Amino acid sequence: MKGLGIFYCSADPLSRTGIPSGTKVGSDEDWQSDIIRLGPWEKCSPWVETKLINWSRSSFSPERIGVVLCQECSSALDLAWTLVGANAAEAWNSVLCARQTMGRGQLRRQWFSPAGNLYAAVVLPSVSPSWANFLPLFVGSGVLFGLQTLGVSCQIKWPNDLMLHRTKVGGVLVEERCGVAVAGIGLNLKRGPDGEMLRENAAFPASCLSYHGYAFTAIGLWTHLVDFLQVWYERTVAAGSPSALVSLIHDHIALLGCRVVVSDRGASSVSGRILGLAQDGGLRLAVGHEEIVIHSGSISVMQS
Amino acid sequence: MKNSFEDIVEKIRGRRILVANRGIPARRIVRSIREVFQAVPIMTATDVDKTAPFTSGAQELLLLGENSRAYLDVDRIIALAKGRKIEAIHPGWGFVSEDETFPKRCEEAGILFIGPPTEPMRFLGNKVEVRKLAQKLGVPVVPGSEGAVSVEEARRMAHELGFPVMLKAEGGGGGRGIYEVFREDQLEDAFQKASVLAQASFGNPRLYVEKLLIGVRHIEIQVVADRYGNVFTFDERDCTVQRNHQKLVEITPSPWKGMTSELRDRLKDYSKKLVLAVGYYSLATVEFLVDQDGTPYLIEVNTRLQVEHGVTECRYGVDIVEEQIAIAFGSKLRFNDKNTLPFNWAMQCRINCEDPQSNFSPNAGIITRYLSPGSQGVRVDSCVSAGYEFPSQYDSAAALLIAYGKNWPKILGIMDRCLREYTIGGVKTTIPFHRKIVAHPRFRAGDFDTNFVSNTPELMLYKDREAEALRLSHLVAEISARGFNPFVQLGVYRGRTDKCMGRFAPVLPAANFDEHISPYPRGDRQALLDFVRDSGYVHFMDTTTRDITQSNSGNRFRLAEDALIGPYLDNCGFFSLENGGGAHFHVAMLANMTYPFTEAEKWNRFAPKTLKQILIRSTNVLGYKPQPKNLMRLTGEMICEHYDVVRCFDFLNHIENMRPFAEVVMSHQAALFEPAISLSWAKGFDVPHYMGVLEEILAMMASVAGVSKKKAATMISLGLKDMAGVCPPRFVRALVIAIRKKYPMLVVHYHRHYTDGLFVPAVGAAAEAGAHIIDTAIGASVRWYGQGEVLSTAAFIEDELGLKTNLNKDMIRSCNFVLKQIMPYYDRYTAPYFQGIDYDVVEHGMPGGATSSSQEGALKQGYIHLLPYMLRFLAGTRKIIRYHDVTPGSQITWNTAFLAVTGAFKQGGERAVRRLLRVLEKVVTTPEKSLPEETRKERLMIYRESNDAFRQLLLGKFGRLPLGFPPDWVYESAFGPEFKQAIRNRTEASPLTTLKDMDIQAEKANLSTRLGRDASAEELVMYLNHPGDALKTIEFKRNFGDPNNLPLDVWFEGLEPCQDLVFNDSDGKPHHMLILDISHPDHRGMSVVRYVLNSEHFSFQVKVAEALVGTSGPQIMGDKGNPYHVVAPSNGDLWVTHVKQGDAVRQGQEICNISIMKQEKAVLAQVDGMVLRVLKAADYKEDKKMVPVKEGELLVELGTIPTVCAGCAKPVPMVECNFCPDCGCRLKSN
Repeated sequence: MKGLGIFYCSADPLSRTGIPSGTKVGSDEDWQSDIIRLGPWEKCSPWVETKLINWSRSSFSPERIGVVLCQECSSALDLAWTLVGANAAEAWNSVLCARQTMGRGQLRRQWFSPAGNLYAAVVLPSVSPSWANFLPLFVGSGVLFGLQTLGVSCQIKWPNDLMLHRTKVGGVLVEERCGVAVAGIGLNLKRGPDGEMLRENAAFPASCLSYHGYAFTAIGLWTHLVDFLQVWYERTVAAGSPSALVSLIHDHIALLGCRVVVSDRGASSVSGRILGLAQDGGLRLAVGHEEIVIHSGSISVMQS
Repeated sequence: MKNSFEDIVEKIRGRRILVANRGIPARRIVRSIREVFQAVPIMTATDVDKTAPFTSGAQELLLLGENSRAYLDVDRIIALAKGRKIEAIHPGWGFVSEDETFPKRCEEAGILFIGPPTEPMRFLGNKVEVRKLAQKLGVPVVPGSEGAVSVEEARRMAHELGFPVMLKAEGGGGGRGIYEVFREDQLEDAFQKASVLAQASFGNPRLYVEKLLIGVRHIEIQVVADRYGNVFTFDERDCTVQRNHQKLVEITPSPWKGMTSELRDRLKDYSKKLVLAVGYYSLATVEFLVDQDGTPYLIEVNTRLQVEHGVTECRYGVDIVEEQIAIAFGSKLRFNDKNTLPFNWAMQCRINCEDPQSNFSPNAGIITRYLSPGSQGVRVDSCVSAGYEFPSQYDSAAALLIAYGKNWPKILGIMDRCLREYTIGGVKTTIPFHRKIVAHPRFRAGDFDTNFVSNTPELMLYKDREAEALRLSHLVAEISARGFNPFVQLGVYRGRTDKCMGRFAPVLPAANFDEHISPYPRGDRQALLDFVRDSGYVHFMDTTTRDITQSNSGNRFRLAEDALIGPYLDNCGFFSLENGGGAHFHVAMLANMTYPFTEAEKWNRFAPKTLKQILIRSTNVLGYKPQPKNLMRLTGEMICEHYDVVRCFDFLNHIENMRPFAEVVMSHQAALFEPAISLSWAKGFDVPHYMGVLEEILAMMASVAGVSKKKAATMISLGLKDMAGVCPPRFVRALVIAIRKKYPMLVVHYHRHYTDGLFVPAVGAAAEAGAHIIDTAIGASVRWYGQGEVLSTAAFIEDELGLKTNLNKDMIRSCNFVLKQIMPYYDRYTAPYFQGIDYDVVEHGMPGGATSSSQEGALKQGYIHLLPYMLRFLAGTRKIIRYHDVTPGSQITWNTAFLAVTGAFKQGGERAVRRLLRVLEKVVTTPEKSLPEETRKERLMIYRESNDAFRQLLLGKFGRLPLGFPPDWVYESAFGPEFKQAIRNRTEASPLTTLKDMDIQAEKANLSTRLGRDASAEELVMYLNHPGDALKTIEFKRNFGDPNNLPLDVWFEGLEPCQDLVFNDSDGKPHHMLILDISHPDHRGMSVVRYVLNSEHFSFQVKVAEALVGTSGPQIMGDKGNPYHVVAPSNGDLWVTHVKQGDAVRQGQEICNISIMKQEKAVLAQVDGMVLRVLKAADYKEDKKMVPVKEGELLVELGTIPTVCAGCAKPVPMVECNFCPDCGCRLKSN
């Protein structure tokens, strides 16, 4: 592991926007106190995109893994792609923002992004073809075990949601362009979306880690997670096979043995009992007397 | 009572013994169960494995069902075994072989466990316990904690030991669960993570601390012990070559010079003590790390049979597994220091289905070829065979390859040759990687440590390709299944069942190639020119293999056929052989899949005596548009390496355009530069005009050489190039006389085509007037649009004109005979269009090859009825815009005529065309002053349909027009309302003054990235001149090898089933191929070709038709190499498509997005283009539907952007558009 723990802060943290009314001020206070507590930081101000790009180009290096902190942006993924597109970010460089105005989940669904939660995007290293389709599972399991080192026992709802006590507390979205993959990671630390904000047919109620008694701050948690992801990478992707990763995750799959409905697929929806993960990272379902493996779709629990 | 081995053999015979394992270990153990004991071997097998090749030796299978992890379910296996009356179980290695409860559970079920008893197994297998025991016995251990520790203890311990240290998972083993910590500040963090990872990986979070030893070797001792306290220790195995703690190569004895007999005895003694101390029996391996000083540290004891046991067996000539089985049944150990002595060296390479170059990623799939090494000194324990689908569910071990012999050098030699013999096709394996290890000097010197692989990156540098013969057989299968060769770019020129030309088996007449000595000095241009000037006879250049039939067969001649006639041509007494340049440079790549400079190099080998000549197109180099100076120079340098005479022309006779080439060639002492005047015959193009051009040439050459014009005239030869073949003999005579008179020392080289039918008299006139060299070709290749025939021309010159020649006519006849056998194939497949004489060329000026190809173009586009009009248009326009009828001018003129005539036809049928021609006729025959106002208006229609290249020509972007700019109305016609701006923008400067140098280093990097390796100098020059076709050729060579190894008939027609083909590979080794069957295409449009190559059977799939509608909707597979095909990068669900038909897209723009297990992959345009069609589309946000797609499936097809609107600069989507769909502006082109 190279140069872990050296991070950079971009903008003059609170200068860009005021705190929107109606937001819990306490969350932004956490952000501020983290900045003071975890510094020193390098600043890039005033906030101009080209400046940020030049700044990160000169600041980041293989020895210094950078995190760009940003008070507010459309989405951490957007900012990360901007840096990747300008050759200003390499593997393990990441973006963390306090608020997102257009946070996105998969299929461009809206991701509830008030202040106080964790919204991060991290550039992933390029992997061999055999790993290409396992990146979401790699990132999801990395966040899972990273949280486990802090005493939180999550589960993965295949393939990209993080569950805690049957509530959704986070999610992972991997996007790939031109052979570069960037993972977006959202964790509800302080707030989850209210009931009416959940999309129709959402499988589980959302909640947040503080609701379950875990008090994390975004910067503090992210510096730990981005660090852990690299360890996880060395142990899984660099040194092992996808099937080994699958077997490691197996016991942490949410809803094992439960009857579920899988919708949103290319084909029609299907219902069955979750058997676990297949060797190729798909989800094994018992449908009638047959076993099938699915590779896409949204899972919800069958109401009986 | 102690049983002897013989007693046990009696006891076991016919008993049922199960191997609870799969793959290599299962097969290995089954063999020992059978050989001496004659017991019944039974093997466990899941559904994936139940028909695998390694099961063949088992008499029965214990089927475990579909769960691929069933080998881990001890209770189930024991229960099933009991039901099958199995008496003993061998666990093999891996899976449950280290489960210490296995022996006990077997015992409870009344089954004998072939291995150690539970208690000692648990004791030795536990790292903490064995460590304590070792310390008690005085066996050195790696310094570290006694048992699992807390963070605080770990920190204290690390301080005592000093960094670096290792954190090891208590439950780990086999190299797994080890975490290295180099600095104190990393410790706490690492401890936390390691603990979680240990929990996740082994279900046990406990860690202990050990010193991390640097620069050590992994040495282990094989021990075998019986129930009666007898122990035997074998010599060490050196397993130092590892990657991530996984062993790759194992050797016995160690080739390390630090391995003394004293150290060996010590390690054996330690091992014996450990085993005896706990009452252990069966097999065990005691593993040590040994540092550079020879200090050993115990790391662990393995309580099972190990993967590398085979090398020990080979060193001693024993069967360890047999002994293990006997001991389990109560036999007394047979081995002792008297009867079991080492007499061999042995080494094992683990052959895995992994791709070392891709981070050793496992590689499942069908094994298409399997050829195992053999003969003395080799042992192969494999689990695969040809046709076996190597599963992805299990580990990647395919074979254990052992070499054994009397000493280290011998086994290095055996291993190297085995790795060369070993062929496993269809999947990537570690074979080439092992070859790199075995060849590495440090490995051979025995000087390496456990970090050898990670610190030696050059081990990864190798090419992993199938043999060329196999690749070529794929090409033959491809051509045969289609019936035509898609790579020659001639469309579907024949079908599979069409009649063949017949086999190409050329008869080569005997000739003494040593007899002829070329009189021409080579390597000194001045001596060469002096010789030609003083020789007193007419010299001949031969164009047979290049210019003769231009874009039809001539430029298409393959290196394979060149090599047949080249040796004859080399002995005909020619001044030079034109064997490169012009269109051939491009066609070599486009259609022949041959590297052009490699071809030139081979020419100089099979025809070494005669000068080689190339044609280049001034600024257009070897292509069709101006190129920057630095590319001209780089290409020029490479040309001078392979060619002696460099003829350079400019279609506008803009002499400055030749300067960069003149500079390069003149800087080479050996190369002769031949600037050529492009000739036409029309008003204004008369003798004084061309004498003016000559003055410019000599002025430029004088400036380049730093001499006077007169002196410059003695340093070059002058080319006269009549590409259309229009200049009458009287004109040529007058021109040559004028030149010779003014510059008597200038060597004149006359080149013309046959187009007007007056080749022989014109060439005769030139020779008579004093031209030194003339261009002809061998008779069998002569067609009307090329050069004339050599012997008839020589006869005319000698007998009618009384001049002398110096040709080897018999050799020419022999050459002609060979060529007669070659030409029918080229005539049939490459030149199916007009090949006759057209005297009207003196009017329309269309060069020969261009007439043939333009006729083809008109025919294919449905305008053949307009061809006479087009030729009349050409005759007229030549009088308005005057330049020479050579490449690329001839193409520009032709396109202008084609577009004008078809444009008029689309607007008003043939009437409109006739009207256009009437106006044109009037314009060229009436003086401007007397032209009626009405005609002045009407003439603006003439160039209304012209294209961009034509307008660039009018602006002077190709160079200065030889007789000045045309009248202003031409600009008004071509440019429309903005014509005044166009007139202001005209330039007479050479394009070289404005073309910026290209960034060659950046292009090289770009190419290397695309190839995934360093590009060679030749590949770079190919790429810079013709990027798309260069990449295609490079890829072809990688996929198929050198196609010139295939005979001509196979290249065009392929093979019929049951036809034999014998071909040589590039090393000259012969191969035999026989196609057995070519199946009808299936629903995917795939045809299967079954064939035999050198007695091996192969199947090869070729896509010969579009796929029919399948179950999940129609799928059309795209061509991954085609940048205009947007294909699905992998299987997944398409959920959004951003483009529709007619959209213009930019390179790098996202076309659509595919969700693959929630990973969203953007599919980007590889090039700028226009969406021609969208084959699959989705809009999830709108209709909540995703569309499944298959890897490689064509999603969107792009086309080139035909033109750009002058008004709004947006691309215009369709050729037929007359108005821009974006801004409504009237479009000029098309």
